[in-house]
Amino acid sequence: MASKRAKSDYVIRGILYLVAAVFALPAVYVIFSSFWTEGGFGLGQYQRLFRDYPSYLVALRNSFFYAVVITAGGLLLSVPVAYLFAKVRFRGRNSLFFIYIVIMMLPAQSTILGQYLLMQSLGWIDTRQALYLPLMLSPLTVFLLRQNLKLISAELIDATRLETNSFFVLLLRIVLPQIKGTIAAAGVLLFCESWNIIEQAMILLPRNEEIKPLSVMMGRYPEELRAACAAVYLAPVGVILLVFALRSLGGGKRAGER
Amino acid sequence: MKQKMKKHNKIILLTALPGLAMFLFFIILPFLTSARYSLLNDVYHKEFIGFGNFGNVIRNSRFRLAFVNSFRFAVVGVALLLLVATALALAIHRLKRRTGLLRVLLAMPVLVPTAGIVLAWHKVFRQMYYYDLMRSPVLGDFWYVLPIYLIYLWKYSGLCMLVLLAALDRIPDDFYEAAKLDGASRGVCIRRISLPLMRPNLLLVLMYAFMSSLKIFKESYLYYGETKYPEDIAYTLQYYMNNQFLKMNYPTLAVATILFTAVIALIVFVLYRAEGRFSEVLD
Repeated sequence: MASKRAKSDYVIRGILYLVAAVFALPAVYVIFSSFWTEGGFGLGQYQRLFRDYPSYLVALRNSFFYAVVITAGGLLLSVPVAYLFAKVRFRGRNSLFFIYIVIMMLPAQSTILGQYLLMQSLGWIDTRQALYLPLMLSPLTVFLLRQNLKLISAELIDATRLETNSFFVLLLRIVLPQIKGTIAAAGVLLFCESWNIIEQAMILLPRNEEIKPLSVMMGRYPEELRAACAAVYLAPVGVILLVFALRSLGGGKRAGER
Repeated sequence: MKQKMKKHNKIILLTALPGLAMFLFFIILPFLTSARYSLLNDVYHKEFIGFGNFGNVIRNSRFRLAFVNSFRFAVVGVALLLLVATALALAIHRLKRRTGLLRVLLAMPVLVPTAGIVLAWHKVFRQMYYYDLMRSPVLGDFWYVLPIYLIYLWKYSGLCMLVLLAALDRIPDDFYEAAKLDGASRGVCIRRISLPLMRPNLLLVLMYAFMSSLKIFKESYLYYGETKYPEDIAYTLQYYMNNQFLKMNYPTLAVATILFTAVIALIVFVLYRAEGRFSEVLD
């Protein structure tokens, strides 16, 4: 009985690893081809890319800038808002949250017209803040944080209130430790989303080449260097993957990112 | 005590103010100003014509094509995604132990930036064998748009699987033990225990899958080579809206946005309500 179970489990495990391998194939292909130069293996693509196209590194730096600013700003702004929606009762709270969610669903095309007009009137077209300010407001982040915050029992908070007057003690000692995981997950998602901005960058930063992120500059570089361009662009995600993979192997208990 | 709570609430409100204010200024306000355009005739004259635009847009064949395509992708895509995610989740759930690495590997695609991976999609699909497939008279169109479905499934199955697993992981083993003692087969266990207990998360995945089916435009745009007009079958609402923006047809774009938003709001509202019935996840 036990061995029959084990065998079918092995098959399932094998299939799942196969699926995971197929999932990984596109990225593996990109990284692989980035080392292909002059009919053999080597760093040729990378050498030519960094030597002949300085704008690539500028664009890379820009992407980092936007991703870091949006993620940091996004988390800082979202935690209090999530707390508000999770713990404070006020009239119209649910309707307001519903609006928040609907906005979360909207793709860039729905909001871009209004934002373009706004930035135009502010004279902010072709500036960095036009891109990162609106993107810091990630309803998805607020949503995830709120989910987690709701799980913190009211009794715990009340008990803490009995001990101290300070709100900050409450926040730092009690609340924050419990939402650390969600902050990390939301942060990773936000980082990768902002690493990937395309539509907004194309429309709000039409002319200023100096501040364009890599995502929109990608098409500039010649075909034969495309793989190296893409591989470097994929690198941060590779690092994140490594971190998560190692944690999943080491910990044993904690699995997944949600 | 009550005073402390009130004082704390005030602090919370204060710290939340920047986020809320920015939300109002950078998202709500733009939306309203762009909505204003829907009632004007065009960018240069800006004359008020009431709902005339709405009629024009709804009757426009391009808009209808785009709407149908988006709708079809949303329905078919989300259904497929749910199937794949559920299958993966149930499979992992069955393994019980040492699934950490698998979970990470399967969920990774959602983090991959589009411009970095489109190279691979082209390598697979922009080949002679595929061009021949696309030329076949019967299902030619289907092959043209299939890559987008596959990219969509590739990108989001893993994350959706994780959300479903969050629910499955919480089911105590005893439930299954008891059921097996009563002679329940595997299939019955899944149907009567796993699936029902997964329901709230299933709805969450439905919402996320729907939201993602709208975002797949990025992949579609890059895959078809940043063209403004892919083949008809792939021409979705976002292409339509993007083109209207580039042509400065702001009134038309505003109308499309409002209709788009209204439909999304309706779907979200229905899902929101449904989820409310199964759990108080969303209050």
